[in-house]
Amino acid sequence: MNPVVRWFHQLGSPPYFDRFAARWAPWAYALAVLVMAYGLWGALFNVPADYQQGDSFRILYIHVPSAWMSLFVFALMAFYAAIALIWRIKLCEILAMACAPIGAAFTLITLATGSIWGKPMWGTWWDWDPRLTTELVLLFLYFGVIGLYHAIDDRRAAARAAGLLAIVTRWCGGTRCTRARRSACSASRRWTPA
Amino acid sequence: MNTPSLFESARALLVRDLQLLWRRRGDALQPALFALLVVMLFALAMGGEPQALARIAAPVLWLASLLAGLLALDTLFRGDAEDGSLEQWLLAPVPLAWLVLVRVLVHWTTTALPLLLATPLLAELLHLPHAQLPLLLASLALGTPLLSLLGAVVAALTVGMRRSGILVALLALPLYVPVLVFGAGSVAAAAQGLDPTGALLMLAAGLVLALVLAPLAAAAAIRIALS
Repeated sequence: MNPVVRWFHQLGSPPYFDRFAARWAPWAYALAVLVMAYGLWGALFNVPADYQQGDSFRILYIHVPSAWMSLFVFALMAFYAAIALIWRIKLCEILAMACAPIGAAFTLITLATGSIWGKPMWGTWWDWDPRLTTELVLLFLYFGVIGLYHAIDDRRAAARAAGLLAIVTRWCGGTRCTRARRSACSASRRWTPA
Repeated sequence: MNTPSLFESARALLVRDLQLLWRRRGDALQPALFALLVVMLFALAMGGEPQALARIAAPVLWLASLLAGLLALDTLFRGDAEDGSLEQWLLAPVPLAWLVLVRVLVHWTTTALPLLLATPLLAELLHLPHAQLPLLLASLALGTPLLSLLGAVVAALTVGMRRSGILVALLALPLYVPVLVFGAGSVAAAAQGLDPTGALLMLAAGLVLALVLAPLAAAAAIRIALS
């Protein structure tokens, strides 16, 4: 068998993946710190101040990636959960449940940095327009998955149940709700930066 | 022995559920009473002034129905989970999703429909403008089955858990948010002179999709919960 394919299959075994992760995690952290340091320097010092918003726009360099990540990690969690439920791959149950706190943290960062940006820009810490509201609902969905996972004693059944919840809510949120609400609600109220 | 058809199994489940309910028919009034209490609490908290109440009447009625439905979710599968009938459902020759769909529809008829019939009375208590009442009833008629179906998925995920009350609410309410936005939003749009058809069509679309997909998801959840 092709060695790359074999390596990929071996990664599906939890003990093998555990050793792999233990070996490469410090390097991954180091790379992340380096890249984030460069990003922070670029956002805080290198980029010139915005001609309209001044220096308060710099927090968007954290806010926007956090927003992408919060949505992407939820989709990834649903994806792993689907693989775990359909093909019964144990590792994907662990990966799916590991995504939940990460995604919740990104969602919190998005909401917090968004509020901090919004106070000088829009004059308010919070508004109930569709984008903010859906991000808040996303936070509750993450908490729901985490809560359901910790409420069931058997770890594997818990991962499967919480994974099914992630799939169902990803389907609800990704299809009718988000797009329809944005088009329906923003048609009646348009928000522009003050 | 012949395998029962879908219709025969649905009829058997329907007759059983209605017979069980008939023996405790007072229970059917409990969601309506809860909604009445919620309406009363909102009215008292607002100070009882008719002008202020009329403005919030439609959203409060939507919330009362939603919260009453949330509490009623507890009875959806609990009785059968406790006496072992749910495991018999897993072994039944008819699809589990079909049984779930029939159960949810019977549950809606016995908990949400009395609430829907009581809504005009509750609307009077909150001084709802009469022009808004038909639209409110239409949005509730489309929205409450959708809430029941979504709630059934959450109830199926937590079936068998002992102290799952607040967890069910925590899981179900984010899923209820879009339904509430469209339902209460349709009445709000009409009150402002905008066209409510779009929101109602979204509710109808969601209901059609949930009628097919929610029983399947709930069946998968029951299998996981009872595994």
